[in-house]
Amino acid sequence: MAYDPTFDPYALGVAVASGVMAAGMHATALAGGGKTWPARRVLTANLISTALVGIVVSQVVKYLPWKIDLVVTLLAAGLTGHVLGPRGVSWAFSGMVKGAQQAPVIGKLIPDPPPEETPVPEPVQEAKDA
Amino acid sequence: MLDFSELAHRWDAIYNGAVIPDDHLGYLVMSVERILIAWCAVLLLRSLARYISAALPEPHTMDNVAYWLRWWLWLRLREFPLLKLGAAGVAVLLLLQIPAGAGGALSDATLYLMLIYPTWIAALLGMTQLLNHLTYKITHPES
Repeated sequence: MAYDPTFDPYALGVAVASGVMAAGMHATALAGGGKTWPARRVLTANLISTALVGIVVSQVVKYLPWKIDLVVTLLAAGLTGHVLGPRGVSWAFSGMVKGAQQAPVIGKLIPDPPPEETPVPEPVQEAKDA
Repeated sequence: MLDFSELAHRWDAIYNGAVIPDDHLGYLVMSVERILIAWCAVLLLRSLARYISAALPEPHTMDNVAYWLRWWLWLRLREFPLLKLGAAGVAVLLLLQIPAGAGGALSDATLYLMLIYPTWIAALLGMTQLLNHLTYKITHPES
């Protein structure tokens, strides 16, 4: 008897396949890229985050209001994971902000980031009672 | 005692029978491998374009590229043309079989497909690495 009556092994399979797809795309792109491989822990972290992005994309696609083919789902998960996984969500967000700043109307609404503060050196306290 | 046709049928059942009994799971696994093959083909085409732009002399106009490609093919095909044309033709014809499975025609995860799809991925990646190596040798002649 199933513990969860709504459990669907096929949906789980699609999620796992999306993660494997994204990680495989990233690994094959690294193998065919002609560059040196990153360190093993970096590579492991990148593959895991890529797979996670793929799984998230497959879940998002699952709850979209229209029906989407399995191949299209896997492609979307793999490509998004390959692009977004090693770089992170902050990269996508800053890219979107940069793109919006160059847009004609919305760009004026977004302020420029504040200039980086140069660290002020602390004044050296002189010994008073010498 | 087994006769020949029975042996052949048995081998056919092993080689072309479904390894994964569930249809949906088999189609899922096969789709992942097919899309990875297509992705590796895209990587190969990208490095092929890089190799061509590094190997062909300037300027890179359509006429010039067509001229040099024509000469390159002519010189390469002077020796063992049947072998080269045959290998390239077999590869292309086998690759054309892969998109036929996108609609679910090749949905059974057979032993043959489970072996030949990773082989395709390895072959495409190997060709990509060879092209990258050749491009590097052209762009870094001193090393």
